[in-house]
Amino acid sequence: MIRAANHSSYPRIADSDQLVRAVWRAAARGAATSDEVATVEDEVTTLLVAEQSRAFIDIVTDGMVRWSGPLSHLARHLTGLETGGLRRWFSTNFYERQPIVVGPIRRERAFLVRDWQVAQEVAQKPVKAVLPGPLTFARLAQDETYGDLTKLAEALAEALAAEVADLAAAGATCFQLDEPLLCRQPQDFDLVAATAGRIFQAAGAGATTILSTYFGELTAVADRLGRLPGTHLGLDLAAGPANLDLLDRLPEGKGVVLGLFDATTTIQEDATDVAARLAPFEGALARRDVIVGPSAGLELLPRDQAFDKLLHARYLVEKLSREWTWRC
Amino acid sequence: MALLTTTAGWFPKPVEVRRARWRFAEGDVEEDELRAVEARATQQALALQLELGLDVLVEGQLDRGDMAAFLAGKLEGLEPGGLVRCFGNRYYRKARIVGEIAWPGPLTVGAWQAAQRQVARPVKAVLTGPYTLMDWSFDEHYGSREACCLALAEALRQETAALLAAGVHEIQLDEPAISARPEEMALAAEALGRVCQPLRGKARSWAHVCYGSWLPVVDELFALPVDGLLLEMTGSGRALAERLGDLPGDKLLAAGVVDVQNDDIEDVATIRGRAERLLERVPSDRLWLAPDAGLRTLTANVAAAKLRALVQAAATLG
Repeated sequence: MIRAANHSSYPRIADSDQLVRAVWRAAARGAATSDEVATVEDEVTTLLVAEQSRAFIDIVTDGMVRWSGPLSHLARHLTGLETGGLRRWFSTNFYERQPIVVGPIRRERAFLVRDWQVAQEVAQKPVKAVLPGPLTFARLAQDETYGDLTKLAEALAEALAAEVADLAAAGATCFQLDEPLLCRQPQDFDLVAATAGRIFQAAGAGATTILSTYFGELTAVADRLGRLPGTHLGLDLAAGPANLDLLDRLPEGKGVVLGLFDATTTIQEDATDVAARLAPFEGALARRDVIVGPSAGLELLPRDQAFDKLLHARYLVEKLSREWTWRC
Repeated sequence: MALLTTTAGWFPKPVEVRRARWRFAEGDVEEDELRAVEARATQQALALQLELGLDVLVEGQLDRGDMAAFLAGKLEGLEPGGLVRCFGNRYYRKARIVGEIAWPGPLTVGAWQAAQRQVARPVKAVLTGPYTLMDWSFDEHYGSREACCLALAEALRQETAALLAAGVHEIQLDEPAISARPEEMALAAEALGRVCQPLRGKARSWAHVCYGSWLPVVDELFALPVDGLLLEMTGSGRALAERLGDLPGDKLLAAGVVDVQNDDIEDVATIRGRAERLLERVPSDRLWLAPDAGLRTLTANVAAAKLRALVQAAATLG
C-alpha cells in the first residue's frame, strides 16, 4: 500500500492569511488575551487541515501552528525547562530559542491532546501527532540539571510517553517521533532505540508509529535498522540520497516513510522523475507499507510552495498505485 | 582613552516607517512618499547615534525589509519570494534565485551618501555577505551552492567598489549564516575575500556574525579576509571569548557585548565587566564595543537605552 502524508509543520501564514502572526503580535503588546490567541490558533489549525486535505493526502497534521520551534515548544509545557538564546535549526534558515534544562523534567498535564483534537475534529483523514525525539532534544538543549545525556533523554522520554498515552486515549492512532540528529550522531543509536521504544509502547497495539530521521543519512547504522522501534522508519531521500540504498535493507514487515519532496527548496520535484528514482526498488517497496511526502517540516517554505509539495506527493501515490503491483 | 563604539546596524523601524512600507505594499502611497519617510527616520537614527556618542555610525538600514530579501528585485537574477518563518513570530521574504546574478549598478550607494552627507563621523555601509545571501535564498538556477555564492560575490564586489568610489571608509558584510556548514567555511571566506578585494588598503572591512556554532570553525572565522570582526558575544558567541588570544594581531574586534534579543537593559557595570574580560586577551587599541547584532528586534526606547549604556561603558575603558 502507498499513501501520502504531510511530515510535520505547515506554513502558518501566507500573504493572504496572517492571522496567527497578527494575534501573536497583539498578545506580545498586551492587546490580545490567551483565549483570543487560542481561538485564532484553532481557526488557523482547521484552515491548514483543510488545505492539506485539498492536496488529497492521506495523513495530515495540525500544522504545528502553536509551536514556537521544534524543541522550544516543550519549554512552554514541561516543568524543568526554560529557553535561552537563538540557535539555528540544523542547516535551515530557521532559528529557535535553545531549551535550557533547569530542573527535573516533568509533565504536569497533557499539552498536545487538545491541539490534536481540534485538528481531528475537522479532518476527514487521520491526524498524525508529531513529537520531538529525546536524543535530538537532549543533544541540542543546554543541560544544567542531569549532567548525563542518557538520563536527560530518558526523563524526556517518560514525559513524552505519558503524552502519547493521553493522545492514544483521546483516539490518536498515528504518531511520529522526530530524531533528525540520529543521522549525525549514529553513536547514539542505542539511546534512540531505547527512548523511542519507550514512547511508542505508550501508543498501544495497532497504532502507526513513525521514527522520523531527516537532514541526513542513516547509512552508518544500516546493519542495525531492524533494532529501531516503530511500525515505520522515516528516511530523508532529499538531504540523504544514499538512504536509497537502505531500501533494500529494511527489515521484513517494516513500513517506510520516504521524504522524497525536498522541504528546503522551492524547486518542485516531478512525480514522474521521483517514480523513476524509486523504480529500482519496486521489489523492496511494493511488499511493505509505504508513505511518501516532504523530507521535513514544510514551514521552511512559503505556503503555496508547501501546498505544491503535497500535491506532487499525491501525484506520486496515484502513479505508483497504478503502475506497481502492491503485495501489501 | 575610551574604547571605540559602533553598531551592527538595523535600527528599530519607527511606526511611521512600518506604516508607510505597509501602505506602499498595498499601493496606497507612492514610492517617493515612502522614501521621504525612510529618510526622516534615517536622520533621526543618525541624530541619536551622534547624541549618544557612537564613533562609527550606520544608516540604520531603515529602507530595508530584511537582510537577504532587500536585494531581491534589485540584483538581476534575484526575485522576491514568499513569506518564510525565521524565528518566533518573525518572517521574511526568502528570495528566489531564478537566473544569472548580475549587478545592475549601484544599489545602496545613494542611501549611504545621503546619510554620510548629514554627519561628519564616518557612516559604515552595511551589506549582506554573499554566503548568507546564497544560504538565505532559494536557488532555482545554479544548482551549485559554490557557483551561486561566487556569482553573488562578484555582484557584491561591484557594489563595494561603487561604495568605495563614493567615498566610504567602513563597510560591514553581514554573514550570520557563515557557520551553518563548517565544510563550507572556505567557500564563505573566498566569497568574502572577493567582495572585499576593492577595499584593501583603501577602506576598512568588517564581517559581522552572530547566533552560530563558532567553536568548531573558530580558526577559519578569525582568518576571514577582513580587517575586523563584529562578533555576537552574549549568546552562543560567548564561548569565543576564551579563544580571543588566537585573534590575528592585525585584526580588530568589535565585541557584541549587549544582548539585542533581550529587553533587559544591561547596566554600565555589566557591560564594563564583559569588556574587561575581553581586554585580558585583546589590547584596547584593537577592541571596539557594539551590540551583538542588529537592533531591529528592540523597541526604539530599549535600543537607545542599551546604546547609551554601551557608550558610557566604553568611555570608562581603554
